[in-house]
Amino acid sequence: LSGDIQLIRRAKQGDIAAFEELIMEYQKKVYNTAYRFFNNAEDALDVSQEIFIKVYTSLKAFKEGSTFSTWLYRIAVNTCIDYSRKRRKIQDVSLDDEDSNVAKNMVSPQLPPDKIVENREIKDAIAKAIQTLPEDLRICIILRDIQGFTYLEISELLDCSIGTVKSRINRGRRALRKQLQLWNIFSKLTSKK
Amino acid sequence: MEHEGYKAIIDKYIEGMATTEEKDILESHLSQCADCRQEVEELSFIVKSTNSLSQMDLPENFAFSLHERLLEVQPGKHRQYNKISGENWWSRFYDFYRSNKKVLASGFAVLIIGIFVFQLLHGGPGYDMALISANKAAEMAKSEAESPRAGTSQLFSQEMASAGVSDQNSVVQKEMPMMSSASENSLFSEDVSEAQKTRKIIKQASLTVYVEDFENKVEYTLGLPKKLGGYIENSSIYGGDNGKSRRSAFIALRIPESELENILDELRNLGRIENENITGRDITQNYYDTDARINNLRQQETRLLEILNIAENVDEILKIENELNRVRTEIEQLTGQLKTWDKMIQLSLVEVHLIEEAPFREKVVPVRLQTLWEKAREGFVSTTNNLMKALAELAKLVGSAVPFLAVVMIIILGMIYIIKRKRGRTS
Repeated sequence: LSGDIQLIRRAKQGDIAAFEELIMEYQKKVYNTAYRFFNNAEDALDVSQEIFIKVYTSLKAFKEGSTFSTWLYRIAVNTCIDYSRKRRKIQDVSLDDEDSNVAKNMVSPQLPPDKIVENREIKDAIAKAIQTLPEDLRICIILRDIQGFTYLEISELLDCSIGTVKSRINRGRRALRKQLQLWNIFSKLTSKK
Repeated sequence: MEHEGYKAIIDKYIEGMATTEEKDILESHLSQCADCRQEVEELSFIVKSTNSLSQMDLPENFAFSLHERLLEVQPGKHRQYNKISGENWWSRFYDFYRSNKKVLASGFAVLIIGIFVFQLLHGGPGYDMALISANKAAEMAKSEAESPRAGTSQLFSQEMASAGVSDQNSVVQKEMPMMSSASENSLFSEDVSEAQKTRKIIKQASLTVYVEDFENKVEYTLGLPKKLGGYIENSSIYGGDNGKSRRSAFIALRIPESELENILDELRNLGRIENENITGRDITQNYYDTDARINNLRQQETRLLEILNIAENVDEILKIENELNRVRTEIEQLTGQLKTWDKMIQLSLVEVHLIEEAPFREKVVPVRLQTLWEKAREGFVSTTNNLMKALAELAKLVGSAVPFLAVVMIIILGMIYIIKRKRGRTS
């Protein structure tokens, strides 16, 4: 940890090498969070790089008493949510009066009825279903069920109470269930059993 | 317990966080209630599958492109990134622009059309402005058209040179097929220099020199053509009105091209160089084109002469004479052109601007107090008058701009209203 502080101090001076060493262990997690949040590699790359640029440029604002990882993930989460909201707004403008509800527009994943549903296809469906969640539920589900953060950690990252986090996760899971039911994932599963 | 009550337990249960007591209650309920059983099954399936979503590897270029971007924002390189507030301001502005692009664009369109209509109705400056911009555009187009032309001609002449080289080279190879590659190379380089020698370049130089011993230096400069060959094309001396102002002389010399460097060295030694400019205009292509045309015309001339010999009636003879006349005139013109070019190539133009270094000396003039006071008062009055005039103009301007500003305000308010409404709808 003292090594981290050294790195942070050097990175604050503008030392890029130190900064890159510092973020090394977070890169994959941040990228994967973004990947699951947007469910495509392009946005994930853009946003995760944006996140690290932000971390780098606002490193001066980081206070040495606090935890670097929490601070970094907080930036990551906020950037993901901001980006998604902005894009939704742009989509709203371009779609205008069309129904911009993503869930309704989304074509249900094509699952071959007579074959055994492959594991990969279920994962695809879940990844797509996560996409349909509103940002605040989506980020909670990703942080908890994919990245394995604790409720306490998530509440710190999102700056809200543990109760809120729990309720969001539960609501998120139920929304996922509804979405998967809509796509008849479960009925296909049970019929194969 | 109602179904709703079980939901809270289900949430804990599927994460394995329910107490044994809660577990018992739920499990006994599940054995009776198919709905809740299904819910538990499906939810744990979702959690399980979500947990097993694979972690993606970083894209290969991730580290590299991040490094590039970090270099861009490295402090000290770009100031605006250095200040976080500045960056936020920009990104906020950019986001605002992006999310309200349509409204902004239509607003500006209305504004511009409005200005046009306004100007059209009033005649006046709008027309002038349009005219000026059209002129500017024409000027730009002209300069753009000129620069590539110069480029292509140069390119063309280079191509010609190399084409000539390769032709000669192939001839050489035919004559001496057993030649080694090394000697081929040396021959090749000789050919290149041969090709360069036949280049036709008009050289010009112009110099501005500040000199101290003005009269002698002028005389010396005028004497240079005698020493190096060439002649004085033009010379004039200005100023020197009783030592009150600097004198200057403008001298244009024609100097053999081979002596150009020598004369420039001589001139540089005269005094302080203010400005030196040497240009070479490559007219190789034009020169050889003209030459080829003259050859063609000569051939035409001989053929016309042959035809003239067989011509029988007067009408035919007159026609041929006419044509012959035209061809000969053209030959003369073109030959004249070639001669002029030859002269310009042989004798480079050197323009020398000599300026007297020592400035005129100002004499001390005693100031009379009375006139000074008078002048100060005059100055004060005229300044005050000017200020009053300027203020009046400003007031007039503001007053006349009011209706226009009102229109602009209405448009801006309309835009703000639309944006606000849109924002309200989305959030």
